[in-house]
Amino acid sequence: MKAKINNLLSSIFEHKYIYLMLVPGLAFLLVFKYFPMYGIQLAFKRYMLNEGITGSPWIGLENFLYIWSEPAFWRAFKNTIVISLMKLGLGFPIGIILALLINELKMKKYRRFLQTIYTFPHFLSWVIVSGIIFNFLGNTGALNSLLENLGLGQINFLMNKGIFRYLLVYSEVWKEAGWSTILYLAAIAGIDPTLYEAATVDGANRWHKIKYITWPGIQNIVVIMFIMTVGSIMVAGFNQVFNLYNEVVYDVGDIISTYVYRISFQQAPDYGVSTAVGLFNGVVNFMLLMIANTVAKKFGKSGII
Amino acid sequence: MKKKIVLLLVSLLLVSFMSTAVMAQDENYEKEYTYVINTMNVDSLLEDPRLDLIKEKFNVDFEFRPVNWGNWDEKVRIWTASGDMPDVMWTDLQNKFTEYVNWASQGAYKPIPKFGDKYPNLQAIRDKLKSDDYWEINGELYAMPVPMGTVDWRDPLVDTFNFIYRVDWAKEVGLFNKDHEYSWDEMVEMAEAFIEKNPGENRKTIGIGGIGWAWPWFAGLRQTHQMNTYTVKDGEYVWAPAQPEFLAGIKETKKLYDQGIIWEDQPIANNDAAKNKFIAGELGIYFDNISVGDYSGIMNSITAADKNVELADVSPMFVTSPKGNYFAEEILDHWSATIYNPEMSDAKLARWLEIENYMAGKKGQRLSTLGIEGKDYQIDENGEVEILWEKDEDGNLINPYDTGVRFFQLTTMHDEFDLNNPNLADKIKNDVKSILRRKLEDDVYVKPQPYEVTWFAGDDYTRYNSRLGDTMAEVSDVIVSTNSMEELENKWQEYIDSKRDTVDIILEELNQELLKE
Repeated sequence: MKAKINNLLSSIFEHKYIYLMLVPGLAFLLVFKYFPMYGIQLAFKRYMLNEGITGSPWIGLENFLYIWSEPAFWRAFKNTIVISLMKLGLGFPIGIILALLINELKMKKYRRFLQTIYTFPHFLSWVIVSGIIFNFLGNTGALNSLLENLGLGQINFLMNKGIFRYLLVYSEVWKEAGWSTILYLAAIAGIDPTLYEAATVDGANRWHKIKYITWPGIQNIVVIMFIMTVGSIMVAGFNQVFNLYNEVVYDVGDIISTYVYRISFQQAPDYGVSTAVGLFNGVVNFMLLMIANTVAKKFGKSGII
Repeated sequence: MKKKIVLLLVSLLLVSFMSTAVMAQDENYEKEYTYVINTMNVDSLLEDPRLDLIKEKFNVDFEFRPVNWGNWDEKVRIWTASGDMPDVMWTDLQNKFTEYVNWASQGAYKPIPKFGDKYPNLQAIRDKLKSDDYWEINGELYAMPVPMGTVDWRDPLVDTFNFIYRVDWAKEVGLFNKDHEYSWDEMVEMAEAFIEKNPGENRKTIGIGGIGWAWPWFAGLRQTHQMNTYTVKDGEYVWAPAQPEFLAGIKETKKLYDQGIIWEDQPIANNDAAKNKFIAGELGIYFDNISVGDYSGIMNSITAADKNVELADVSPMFVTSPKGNYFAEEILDHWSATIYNPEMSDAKLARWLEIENYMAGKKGQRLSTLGIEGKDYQIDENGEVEILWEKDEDGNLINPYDTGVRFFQLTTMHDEFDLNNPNLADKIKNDVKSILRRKLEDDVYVKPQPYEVTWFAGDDYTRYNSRLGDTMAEVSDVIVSTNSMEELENKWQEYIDSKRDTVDIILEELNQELLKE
């Protein structure tokens, strides 16, 4: 045992600069991710300001029973999962497809130009994007004006429950697809070019090269990204939903994080209940992450754990 | 014995001397205090010479935490919960009594000492407040409410919510009534005419719109008299949204919305969107809280935006409710309050209360409303106020101060001054007075303010009432997303049924606690 510890210490000393580079990341995780977990106990307490987090009285599962009996919580829970799954199913492949298509472009300048165009929306905040969407899709927006002038009548895009979730999915695709291609393009750049040369000699066309060289070359990174996305299924995008939703579409658009925000800051706050919702959310998220990881491993791919 | 008496006398003298010294020091304000305060329009405030006068007079300094209408509530809640309150926290305690009780009983706020003779102006404010008794918790006062309704003739104190409309358009479509009085149906007919005949010559003219936060209750729901969440009916408390009058109001609003009479973007519009449409000449009938400040803002903007529009082209519109009668609501006697950080020393709080006491007095009120004596106004030999503000080319007085600075209204609102504000056109002041006076006439049903429910903080009520916070969102939903009145009724009933268990718990407590006598 002692020898093992000595080995570990000497290994750390030997790679001390590499370990030093870990420090900022670890510090970030500790300060912003692990230390705040101290507050999780509030989920089982009735928060009293004068007693503080530690001194507040324990109430067992009362906060959880409260939220589980609240229909608005289950509505938000369902919406969170549905919206995330829609984003996963309809949005996740777009980045991959876009990366594969961009990779096929021969003209370097055009390729860079397109990459810049696709990546730019990522740097806009959701406040700005929602403003653009309102101006474009609002009842008096550009699209409705066009439809009206064509005699096709208006479509109430922003207050239509059937459309709202798709609006979330595709506005996110528009904003983030270009950004997500960066990772896949980097993975594609790492594929040995001699493979493509050999394939050309063997008479492979573009589709064959994508299917038998590019796709297998980025599969691992796709799986990792997939697992990471599944792991954040319970985080359906607070900034986006908060800026785009309205009371009429709560039924289909209110997600856990917007629900927590409303019960924490827009009405008499009950921090025990808010923490219970957050903890429940985190546990479900963790379970989904583990399931995705296990499934990926079963299919012979490398997981993240 | 003699020695002891001498010693006692010396001690008494010493104590008396020391306390005199301390008093003298306090009265001279030798120690400077810096107060952290949250407020709006901080940029204007920092350049306001009235602030310098207060700093100098009371030997204090200020650090301001900016808030705006959008984040004020949230910031106050976060500061309170995290123990990071400003020394003086300006908060909107309107209908948030359970929060006030909850935080105060947990020691989040500093108790305020009895005012008595030391702060006579503050005591006078308390004496006038109808809600005064409710503010004390276990004999301690934790907040200093900012009183409203300093105008004597406003009795009872009713709301200033009202429709305003384009008089010139009404004349153009041939539906103008000289006294601005209209039935509900006449208002709807006028809105339809505005849309169809398009007197504003817009691509599209909107009939009725209102301030964002007032949707969906302004357009018919409010006028059904059922807006108070819990109301006594047949001797017991009932939940207003479950009553047929409430449903009638929702249906009336839906009818107007479906007919395109209410602005189609109203459910997603931000607070000022409809107001901006009205100012831009795209909206004919606008609903808002018509205070002097807001109304003069609208009037100034609309006349500036279109030189053909005169003040006489806009007026309050007196509309009966769908039930056929005039409707008004008694409002609470205060708007917002100041609360104090429990860590603040007694001496520091005492200095602040002196500032508040000064601001609540005659001189302080003049400082708030008119400005600095000698520079902005003077008192003539008859004791009359003479305003020294500059005048514009038309001879109208120009207020040199930003009226949006809330700091000077931390002690009392200036509603009486506003109604007589010398730099506003008579038409503006008279219009607002006409709204207030119309609501006091005999034919108006004034819904009383349910003080006992507003200030109720029973355990179940505190715990469960927030579950009903989505009611207005549901109203909005059924208005917009149902395709027929039958579907609306069914969907609304589903919602009512889904809340039944929670409502029953609350009603049981209300009936037990408030109707036990």
